[in-house]
Amino acid sequence: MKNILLPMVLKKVLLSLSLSIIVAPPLMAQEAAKEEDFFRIARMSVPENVILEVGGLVTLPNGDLGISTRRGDVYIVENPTSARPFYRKFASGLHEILGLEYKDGNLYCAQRGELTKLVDTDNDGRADLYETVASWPISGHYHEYSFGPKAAPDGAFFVSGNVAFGNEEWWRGESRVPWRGWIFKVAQNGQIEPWATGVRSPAGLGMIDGELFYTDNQGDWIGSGAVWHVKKGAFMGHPAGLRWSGLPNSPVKLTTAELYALANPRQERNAQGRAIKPENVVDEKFVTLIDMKKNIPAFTLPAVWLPHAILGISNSEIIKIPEGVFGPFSGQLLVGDQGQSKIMRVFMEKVKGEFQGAAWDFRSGFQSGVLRMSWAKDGSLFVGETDRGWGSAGDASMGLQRLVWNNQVPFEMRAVRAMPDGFEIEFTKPVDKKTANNLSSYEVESFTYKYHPVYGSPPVNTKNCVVKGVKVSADGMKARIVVNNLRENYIHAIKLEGVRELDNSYSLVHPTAYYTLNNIPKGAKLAQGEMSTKRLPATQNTAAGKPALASKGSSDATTTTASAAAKKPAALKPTFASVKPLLLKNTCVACHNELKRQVGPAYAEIAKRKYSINQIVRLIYNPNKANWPEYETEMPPMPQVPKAEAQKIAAWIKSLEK
Amino acid sequence: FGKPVFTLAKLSSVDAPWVADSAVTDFVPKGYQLDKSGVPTFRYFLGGAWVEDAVRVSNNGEGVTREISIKDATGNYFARLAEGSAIEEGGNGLYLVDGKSFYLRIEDAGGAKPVIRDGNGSKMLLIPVQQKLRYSIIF
Repeated sequence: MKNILLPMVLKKVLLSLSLSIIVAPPLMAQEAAKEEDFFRIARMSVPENVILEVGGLVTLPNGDLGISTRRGDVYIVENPTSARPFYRKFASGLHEILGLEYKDGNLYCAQRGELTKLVDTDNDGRADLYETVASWPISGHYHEYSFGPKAAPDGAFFVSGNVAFGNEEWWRGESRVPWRGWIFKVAQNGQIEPWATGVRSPAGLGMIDGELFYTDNQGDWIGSGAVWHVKKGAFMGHPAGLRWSGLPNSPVKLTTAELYALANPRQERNAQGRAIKPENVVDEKFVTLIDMKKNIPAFTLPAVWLPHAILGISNSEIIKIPEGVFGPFSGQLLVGDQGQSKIMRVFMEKVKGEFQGAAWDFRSGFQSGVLRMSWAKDGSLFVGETDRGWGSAGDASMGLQRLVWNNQVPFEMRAVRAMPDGFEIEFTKPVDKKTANNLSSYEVESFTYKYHPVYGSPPVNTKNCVVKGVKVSADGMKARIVVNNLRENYIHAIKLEGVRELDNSYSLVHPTAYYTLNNIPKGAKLAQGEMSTKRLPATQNTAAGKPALASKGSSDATTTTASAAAKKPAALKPTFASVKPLLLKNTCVACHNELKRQVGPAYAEIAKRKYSINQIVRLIYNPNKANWPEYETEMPPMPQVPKAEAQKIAAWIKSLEK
Repeated sequence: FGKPVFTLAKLSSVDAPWVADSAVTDFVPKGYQLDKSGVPTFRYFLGGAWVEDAVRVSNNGEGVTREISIKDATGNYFARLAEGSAIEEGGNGLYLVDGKSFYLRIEDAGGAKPVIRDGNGSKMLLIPVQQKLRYSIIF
């Protein structure tokens, strides 16, 4: 009994000490700057009878906006950025158009089963010739979305085909007809050239500087979403398309059997002969994509991973920010996400001839799932949205919005570049040298994902990386950190919670970068004398973050000492502050918010069901889709959540019961 | 008519067996052209020939009229206009199939003559299509 008092006293001392650090520094009470302080989401007026489940967006040379919809219509919007845009229906009767491209005066769209050229031969403002450039097989399965087209430099088009799913094994992507689960090239003369496979739900094709990139949606075999560079003959990992690797024009020669010999597809049946859905096994020997590439050179690793549930859950369109647009970010990439209804930002570089780079959150809060984006002539961004057939954050099931920059430069990491001994971070504004030279301002950890037939993967092989030193440039625009334990092909989460901006002491709008370190560059390492190795107590965030809406995941920084204080007396009623780091760490925030419906039900709604704490814990590990029939996206089992954390989360949810 | 089968085929002669392949593997669809009222004319390659195929309401509203035109034909193309146990000729290019309450009327075959022959265990009405064929189904 007597020992209880001492630890409690110690904790009280630590608490008051940390509180005094929060209060002491001569800082103005600053709110951490937020995304919406710089990038405003503007409404676009849409006529009442026009239903815009956006499947494709393209800006025409004269500034008009072309929109294709999943309902099979194509609209042209004149004066799209004005207060009174004019909508003209250009074409209709098409089959779920999921892309729109403009080339040589004509619009091209990918329907379910064909690439169609839309021509207005009599110049009356409506298409009258619907020409099939090429058609491809479809089996009729609802999931056989065809995305594209994107114009290649040689005049042909790239199109990608989503897989179908099995009947009994509804969790397993399969390719029922060629070229589902493939990216293929379509020539103007109708010739189809299979290009690459291993894709599952390739919703975001992007031609960047003449090279093809694509994003995929996390699912079976695809542990997390990412951006891949797609050369001809690439194999990205999903086995479905390998069914056709024996066809004479297939550039991928790997067979399904060869793959399954190295990665168990777990096609198991129970005693009644029914197929068993593979689930994540917590303590198992597993393989990663990195392991697979060692054995099968055909494997293509992502250029930039977008860690699942942190930077999206269903990645979509990739576009490049043009010169002179969005200030310090021009030249970089933006990637949409259809599940978290947000946009992420990607910086890419080439090391040893291969693409790699960093990704951050950019702007959340769109009204529905972000599928397509296109630049307006005035430098604002049209964002096309839809969530039918999937679950998205946001209040609406579709949308057309516009992202506008106010020309104020946010304090952000502009870029992260790999160094022979760590990383160099370039900022958009000069940093405060005291915080930037303090090693406690930085945290790095690295991880990767499993390669397995289970729907998605938890992060695995997670290791902390010690930051050994930092060198801040004279102008304060760059900080080069020396980091030990670097691992090639691993995702390095670089958190700069403690770094502050020089003029206003702002913290970074997005304090964490995820760098995919495919290759470590050669070159000179920093010498001991060149860098600072001071490690002082970490900077405190003056605005002890209000419980921000979970879907934003941007600026609220929880500091190291504040979270240490939160781990104190567990006997007290669980507070949101104590449970919030757990919700973030375990990616619950990807789909759940305290009050608002997102991809999944609000915690307050869950509390209304009056489950016991144990019931909630069981449901975290093995959710039951039948409990929430009005939600389309199934919650994946989360066996990787430690028991103690699950219990804390469950206790907090229960405390929301009225 | 009355069956969902392909109308045109390339045959070596009028007596050659009709194409059994329902997938019509030498068919390459090329979309459609809308007229001023938004009604499509379908376009496709069949065995290398370019075909335009339009169905419209007949002028006097008495039925539907189909007009097929073929270009760059290498080989003999035939249209199978009807298939049934009995095909009766009613004069003036009218045909009655299986005593149904509508007629098939061949209006313009560029001078080609229709042929009634056996095939597939029943009677078939075939007509060679050189460049153009127009026929109506009248109610």
